[in-house]
Amino acid sequence: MYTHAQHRSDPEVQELRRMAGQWLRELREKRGLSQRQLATLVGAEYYTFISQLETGRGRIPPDRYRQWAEALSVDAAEFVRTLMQYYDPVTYDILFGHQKSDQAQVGG
Amino acid sequence: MRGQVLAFLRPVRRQSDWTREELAELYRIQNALVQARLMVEVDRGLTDEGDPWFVFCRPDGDVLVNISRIDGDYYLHSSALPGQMCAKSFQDLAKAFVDQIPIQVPVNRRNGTQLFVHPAAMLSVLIGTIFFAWDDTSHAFNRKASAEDISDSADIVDRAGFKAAFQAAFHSYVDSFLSGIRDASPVQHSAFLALISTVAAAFALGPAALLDDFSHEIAKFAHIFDDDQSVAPVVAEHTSQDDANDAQMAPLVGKLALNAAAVHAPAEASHTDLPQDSEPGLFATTNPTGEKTDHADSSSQNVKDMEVARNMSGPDDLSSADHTKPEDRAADAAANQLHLAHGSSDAAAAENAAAVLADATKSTGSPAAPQGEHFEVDQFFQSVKVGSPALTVTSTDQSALAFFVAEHPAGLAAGSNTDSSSSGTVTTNNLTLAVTTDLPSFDANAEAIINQFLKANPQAEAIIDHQNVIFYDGHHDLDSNGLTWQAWESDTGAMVAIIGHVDPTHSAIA
Repeated sequence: MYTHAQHRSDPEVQELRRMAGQWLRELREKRGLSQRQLATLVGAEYYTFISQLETGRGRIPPDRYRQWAEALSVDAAEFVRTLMQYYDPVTYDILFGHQKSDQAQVGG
Repeated sequence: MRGQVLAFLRPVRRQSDWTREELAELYRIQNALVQARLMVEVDRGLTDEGDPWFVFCRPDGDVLVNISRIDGDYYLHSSALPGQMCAKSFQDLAKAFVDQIPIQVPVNRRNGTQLFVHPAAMLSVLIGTIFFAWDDTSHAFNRKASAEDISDSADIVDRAGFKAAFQAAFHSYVDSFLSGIRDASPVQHSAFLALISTVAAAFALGPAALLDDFSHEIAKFAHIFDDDQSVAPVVAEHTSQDDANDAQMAPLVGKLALNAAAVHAPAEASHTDLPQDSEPGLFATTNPTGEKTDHADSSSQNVKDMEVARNMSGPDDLSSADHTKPEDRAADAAANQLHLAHGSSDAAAAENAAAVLADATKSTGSPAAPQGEHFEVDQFFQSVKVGSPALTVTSTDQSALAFFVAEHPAGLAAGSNTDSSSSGTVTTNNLTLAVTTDLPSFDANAEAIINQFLKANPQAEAIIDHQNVIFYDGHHDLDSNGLTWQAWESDTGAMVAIIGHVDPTHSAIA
């Protein structure tokens, strides 16, 4: 049965969101930013939003991807691709799954 | 060279999670939503600075509403709302919401009943409404937020559309909640609903008619229900007429059953003595002093006022005030017990009210059989702190009248004052209630007038509008030209008013 990849009620999706949050937290801490500072940089209306994201609640709105990438000093394309891995694994697998298998073949 | 020691450590802020009271409020909201059959998940956490947040989410994970306490202020944010709200308390958040999105409530519902939202339940109503409004409004505002060239006119259109969507969503939420109530045990809900209804506030009558301290007072009673978290206050339904088929909703009317045969004497207000089949009531049945008020020394004006109060009875049954009947004698007794004790303490009043509510929660009988409650006004005036500036008739009476206006499909348009002090005749021709003078103080004479009014109107209803107490004669023919009101201001600044019909055969207020 198809389960919407973005629906959090699916435990697997919940886990993916938590992983995304963990990844975002690591990027922020690596950049030396507080949650409040990051909120300012990405234009979040309230800084607790950052905390929520880092615990796996909610998603970064697509129209803020570039700001986030810039604030976290990462390449925007790479940032979005990694996020998609967590937010929309089905789409990610279709788009980039072959790259992983190609890499595996090369590596193998 | 001596070095200087510099502190590079940032001041450490003490972490401050939600308090127990705050969490109780938040989970109470969740329970209310569950009662409305809304699948809402909650989650909470702390930021790296220790500020707490709490989110209500849809089952698919979308965050419906985020509530945070940042630097001591409370914030509510939702993509479904046009902006973030900030306030000093949960109650003020609800108020900010109403200020921002003035949903038209009371709402005339399809079955002819009237809904009023209790201020303490506003946040749950807000979140429930957002739940239903999510698809329509969140996307609209997301689009709007991403557009850079939104003209003022477009903004107005957006807001109008938003309000309409929210209004529809509010109806959906209320319907959902009420169906949830009806499917549950009537006993389970009757006590709390009696409380809600009796203190129901017509919150959408304008900011001046909103919540404030009354919400805090109600919160004092919340512990009574802590053991039963499934019971949560959201809406009270005010039926315009008794409906035997809807008996379990009857206590929502919040009428004062002063015409009932049994009027509890002060000593009968204990838990064990409360009749098992009695309707739970908010108002205490005790009179601390045991005194019967007697104000025979009225001035001529007071005599006139007394006459007015006596005549304030529905034109359709004014003659029914026959005090020879046993139930009417009981009503007399109850009305005569009306006593305004300005000196009682807040704590005592709250304790007294809490005791009555405890009675209510233990009552298991049919809520549709009112047994009569002795109304003790002092509990309101002393349990409701009023910190606002002196009340003026202009705002409060408009609210009070609008309370009734909303009930009538055609709308009772109005009020015109014919007296420079405290009373007037409501007409149906205009919406302006132009009274600019301050209210006279509530005193013994006013008390006697209200007594008289209650005697003459066994079906009187007590309505708590904001911090004010309004006694209405209970007749619903609001098209009548003979609607008259009279009001006083208590020493706390609250208003007590009587609104009733004047028999056309009497010349009441000139």
